[in-house]
Amino acid sequence: MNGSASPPQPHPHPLRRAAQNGLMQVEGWFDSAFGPKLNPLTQLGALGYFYFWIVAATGIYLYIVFETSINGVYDSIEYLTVEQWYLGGIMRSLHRYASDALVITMMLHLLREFVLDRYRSVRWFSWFSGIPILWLAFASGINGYWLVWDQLAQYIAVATFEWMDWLPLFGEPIANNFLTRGSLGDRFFSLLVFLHIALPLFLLFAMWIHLLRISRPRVNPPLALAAGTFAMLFLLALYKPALSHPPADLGMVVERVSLDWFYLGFYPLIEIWSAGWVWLLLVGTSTVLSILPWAPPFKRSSPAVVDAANCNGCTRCFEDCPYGAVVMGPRDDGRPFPSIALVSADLCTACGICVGSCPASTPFRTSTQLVTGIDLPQFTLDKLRKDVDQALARLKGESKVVIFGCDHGNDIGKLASPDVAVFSLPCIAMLPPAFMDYVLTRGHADGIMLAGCRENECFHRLGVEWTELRIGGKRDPYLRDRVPRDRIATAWLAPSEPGELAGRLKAFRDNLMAMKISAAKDGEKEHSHVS
Amino acid sequence: MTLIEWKEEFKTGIPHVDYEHEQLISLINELHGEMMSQGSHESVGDFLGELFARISLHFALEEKTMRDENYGGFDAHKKEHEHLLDQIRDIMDRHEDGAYFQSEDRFADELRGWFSTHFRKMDAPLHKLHG
Amino acid sequence: MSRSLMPGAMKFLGQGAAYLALAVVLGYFSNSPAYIRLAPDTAVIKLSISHGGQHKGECGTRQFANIKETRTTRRALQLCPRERHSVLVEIFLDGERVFSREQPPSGLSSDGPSYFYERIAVPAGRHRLDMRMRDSGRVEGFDYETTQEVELEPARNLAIVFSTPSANFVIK
Repeated sequence: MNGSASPPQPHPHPLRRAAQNGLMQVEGWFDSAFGPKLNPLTQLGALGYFYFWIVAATGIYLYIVFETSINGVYDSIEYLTVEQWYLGGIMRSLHRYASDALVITMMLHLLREFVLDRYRSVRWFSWFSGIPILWLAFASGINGYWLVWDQLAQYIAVATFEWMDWLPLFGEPIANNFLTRGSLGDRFFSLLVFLHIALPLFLLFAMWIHLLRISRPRVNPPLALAAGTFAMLFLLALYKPALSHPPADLGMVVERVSLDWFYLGFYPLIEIWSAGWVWLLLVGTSTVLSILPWAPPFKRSSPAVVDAANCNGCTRCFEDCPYGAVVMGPRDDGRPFPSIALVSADLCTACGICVGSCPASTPFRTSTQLVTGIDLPQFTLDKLRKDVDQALARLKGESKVVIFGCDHGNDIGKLASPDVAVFSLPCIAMLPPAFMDYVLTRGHADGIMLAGCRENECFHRLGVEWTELRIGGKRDPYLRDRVPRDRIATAWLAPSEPGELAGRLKAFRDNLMAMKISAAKDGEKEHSHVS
Repeated sequence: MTLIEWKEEFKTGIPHVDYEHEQLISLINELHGEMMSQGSHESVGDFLGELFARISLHFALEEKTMRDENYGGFDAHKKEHEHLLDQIRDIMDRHEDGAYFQSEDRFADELRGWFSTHFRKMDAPLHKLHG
Repeated sequence: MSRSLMPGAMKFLGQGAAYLALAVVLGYFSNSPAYIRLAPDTAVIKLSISHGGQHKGECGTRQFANIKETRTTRRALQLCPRERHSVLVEIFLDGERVFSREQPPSGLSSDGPSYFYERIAVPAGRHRLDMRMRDSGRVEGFDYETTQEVELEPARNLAIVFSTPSANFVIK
């Protein structure tokens, strides 16, 4: 097979592959309607943070105006909802619906990252730190429902504390606070009210931790998407305001509740099964989720390695790394440069983007062994160049194309042929622009196709963006101006679109042929002119 | 015979810039020596490639330094860098096509001219900034 | 370079459809379907008792070889065992037993109170409640007994606690 520079493209488990294809299909529909930049499915995390801010802002207003005594709270909320419907009521409804939307976004985000396999090896940290977010978000939401002190609150509060009392942690059951009329005092209720500040604050802290090992995390959705989703929530708040149940009465049992199934879906389960089983379910699920990053197959590529003789501390790799795995540090080789790039092995996913950003990664160098400033030991630039040279020597035909693809995009192996060479890289942005220059000028290929993940879906987060900017002369290292752009085609496609890729390749090759023919015609014209 | 002699005026006072300039000059001189001693086509090509890599590294570090210090003339200097890299690529391609075969002097002149132009036009004002 | 977007108007229709779908899901499931927890004509009795069983064994008098040499903090003359008996509580509704449990004392040294917390669903209406407790470790009979008639309307939440000062069950 042509171009065997890479270790064989990792094949995901068929079930995961099927799920990925399904996900890509759905994302494709959203891409058509929203465009890649506004596609909500590719920025669920950012949407989640946005909903959190809506909840926080509306929550602060509500917190300031509602009365926190056990006898006054219900009426003050009724006032906000009914008489001040245009302000307090809308705030309350926004508060509820944004919280519910947050649950949907979180669960979709979790599912998506799982299906796309972006939680294992070095990326375990982001996944693992998301589990406390789940607990804190649900706890905050459930806690919020207690504060209305209507029948729903009564049911949920009593059920929650009875459920917690199942754990042998407390002496006297906390549920005694809700035993009968008059049991619940202002003091305990104030504690519940206070929790609704503490829990969301912890949640915010957890949200901060969640982002620590990602560089340039996207926490704000684009304005159009934020506006659209806010408008939707606002209109929903107007159409169906959030309302209270009848007031709580501890002397009566709550018979019927209109549950908010996003937050409170587990409560019927506590009654149908038992407190113990629900504990097992939740703790068990959390445990399983937490250890998923370490489930087999356990693959781990060696982290990138810096070569001091070829690193002068220019910081391009530091700027490009999507995981913050490269930092600049003091040198110990005696060269007078201010710093050297240092790789944190526990943060490096071996995506190779740093290799593509290094100015020393030019294949025009010494032919004996290509050494660059930063390289992947299991996938060296030297080997890539050797394989590319071999493949170029073997290419035949009228429109010879080299395809550089990525391990997480389409399977480009199928496209190899006597006039098409294929190379799969860990990430498309590992390809130094100088290589494109080399292949087109020295290798005499007619064209290069760059096949990577779909825009906004890059497995390594920034690869597609960096490649586009390098070619466009907007991000270092620039692709040299003298390299003809009409001989470079990009195909940012999901792995579920092999047909589309094959079609693009064919169109590209036809185009190259046409260019060749018209160039030949021009050449003849000149010839005849001269002679 | 060296192509480019190290002169005091090349000194910018910045240790790593001077280090890289020395590196580049010695590389250019080696390259010239290889050319003059009828070195193989490949080995001259290798030297040119190495030069290209070293210059790319040098420019990258210079650009970072300029950014860090909010140098006002950054855009112009960066444009000049890109232009110069294109010129090196031109020299490399001409070599591949055999244009310098038995025209070593032309080759030497282009290289020397390239270096002193860059230094005079661009680096000098830059190191004036550092005094 | 990227796929073609839907033509202009279709795009907004598509986005609108997506937003609408989300709004419908949010609007519906934020308070539907309703959950009905209690069968009609049912009431609930909540038993919540925290009562320390009596200590096991008699208190004994301590003998000191030389009281002057004993630390002042250890000069107590009475030595009482810490361990408590388990507490047995039984509730009868109209003569039928609806609850019976023997709860050991809490705490590492088994000297804490025994805690009871139970929800018992009962039909609404008039009932006679017999409440009994045994805390002395005796084999037969009960140390405390209270009987009371109650009228339970549907969905009533009745609490049964034990008052140690008045040494009887109290219904709230």
